[in-house]
Amino acid sequence: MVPGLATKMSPSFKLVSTYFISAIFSLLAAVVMMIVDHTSLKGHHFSPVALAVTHLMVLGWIALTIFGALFQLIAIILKVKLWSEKLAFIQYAFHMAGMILLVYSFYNFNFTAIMVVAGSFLMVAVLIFLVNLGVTLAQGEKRNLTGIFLVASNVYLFFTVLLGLLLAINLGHPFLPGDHLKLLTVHAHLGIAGWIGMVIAGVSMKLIPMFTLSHGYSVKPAWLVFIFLNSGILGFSLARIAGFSDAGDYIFVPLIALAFLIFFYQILLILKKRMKKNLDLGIKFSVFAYTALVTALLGGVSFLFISNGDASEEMNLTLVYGFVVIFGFISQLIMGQMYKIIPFLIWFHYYSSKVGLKKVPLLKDLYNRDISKAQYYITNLAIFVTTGGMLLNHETVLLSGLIVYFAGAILFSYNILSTYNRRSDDTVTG
Amino acid sequence: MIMNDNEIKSMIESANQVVLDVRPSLAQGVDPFHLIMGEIAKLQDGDVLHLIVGFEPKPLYNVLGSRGYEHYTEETDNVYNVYFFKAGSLAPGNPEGATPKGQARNGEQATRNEFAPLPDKVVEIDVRGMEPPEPMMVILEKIHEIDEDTVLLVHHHREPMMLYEKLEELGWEAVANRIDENYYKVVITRKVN
Repeated sequence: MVPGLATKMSPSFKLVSTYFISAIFSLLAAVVMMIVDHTSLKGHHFSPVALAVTHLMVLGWIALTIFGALFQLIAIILKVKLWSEKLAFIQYAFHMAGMILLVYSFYNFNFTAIMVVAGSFLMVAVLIFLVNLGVTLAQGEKRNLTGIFLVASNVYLFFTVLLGLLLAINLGHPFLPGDHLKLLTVHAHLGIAGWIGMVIAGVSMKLIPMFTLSHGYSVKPAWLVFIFLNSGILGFSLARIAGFSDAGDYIFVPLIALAFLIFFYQILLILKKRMKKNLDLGIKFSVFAYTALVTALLGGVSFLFISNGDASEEMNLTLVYGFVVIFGFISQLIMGQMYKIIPFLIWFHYYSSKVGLKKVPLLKDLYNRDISKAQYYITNLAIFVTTGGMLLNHETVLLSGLIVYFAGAILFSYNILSTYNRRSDDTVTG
Repeated sequence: MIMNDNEIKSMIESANQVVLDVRPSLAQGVDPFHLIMGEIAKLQDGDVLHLIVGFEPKPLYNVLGSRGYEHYTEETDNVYNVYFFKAGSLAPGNPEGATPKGQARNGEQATRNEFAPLPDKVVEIDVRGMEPPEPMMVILEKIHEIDEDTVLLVHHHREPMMLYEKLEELGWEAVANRIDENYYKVVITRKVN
């Protein structure tokens, strides 16, 4: 295997940083929004603030991180160079425009043309991404498990955004058959279980063993995850669209939950075969994240079967479920991974050429480990408290949890963003 | 002096070829590098080392190039026949041209040893127990410690994709051999301009 002359496999530092830094500011904006409007966070999950916050979290914090990480990881995992950086920047422009307009229209409960424009911008951004990725992957040499998860993930991304756009149009000019609210759940699960779930599964299968130095584990569970997750999401979606949501839910929601539980088991298998004995912070974040996921799934499935039919209770639990999945699972996972990716990128970009010529800082010198540990515990605690406040419908508990979470998020942002300051710190003493 | 391909081919055909097929070694996961260097050291003037390998051994071009060996490569169906010969030793009418087989010329002894590669010019490091990005840090540090003639052989658990471009910047080249899913041998050599 011989790389070509001047093979610069990885994307530019500027591209990945743009996405990651925007993601971090989206997180902070979302938390501020939650604090300012915390009273709307209990009750009907269709509340404008909840929708605005959800989309700011998913399109901002989560999506921008996923895109940035994929641009970086494609080179390492699939050994191909991203086809066009320019397209990636154009995608960014459309994405940010669409996201800001969408969040604005949700927040103001404005379901008119502006929401359709927002949805269209996001659709354009996704199409640009799919073209860019498609051409890139076509040049790739391997078909592996991770690649397959990524392809599936992007198919779900396309349909999530498409359905979102159709739903936005539907709000102003109803044309879709069936119940709008039921279709909304399809949109949410296509996005969270389909797009995000698949990408997390695929990337984890490569990243976790890379960092824990694990070898010789079975990947059969991962294949089961792929089969069950796809069957579950497709079954769930089609059943809902066709109007058989009750029967469909009972069969396919447990199947989706089962898929995630099997994925959790696969992670344990990988950890069991690790050479690196002690688990660092990034892995610890992941452990909390997966535990939160398992809790949410078990809670969600049991709720499905023992629900007493109380509508407001149901909406409240939906909100809790969404919060635990987005903040407990996905967000903590991202924070843990960012501690690994961003300092490394800074190190690679600014210091790797200087190795051997001058004293170069170690990776762990680039960020403050005490702050990262504190921030880990603070955000975990905050998630518990906030969830409690939501479940108990207790405004003060809820608000306290959110404020503590904000403190943790500020610490995280400061810690990560301060690694960028290091570049001016050219002389390293000691 | 410059010879065209046909001239080189006919020179190679008429010279004494030492044939070394390293594909079985590679298939067994054994690195043939020491083997190849050993054979090069034993070559007499006018001999040609005929290497048979399943990929183009670019690091060898550099390593042997800096010791005065030229190469000529033919590829058919992913099988590479690489012929290494001392520069100028096959040229017709060259006073230091092909020596009759089996006869070493004492006068040449000193010159030959000047170019003979020494075994300790290969530095080996094993980064398989290190978590990213430590392997890259260790390799980059080692690059600055060794001299231009040295070959760095890295036992790695993956193909170090981000290392290639960094090495290029610093004037080195790398080729990775996949031994199995968790074991790659990465041969790093100084780029020859």
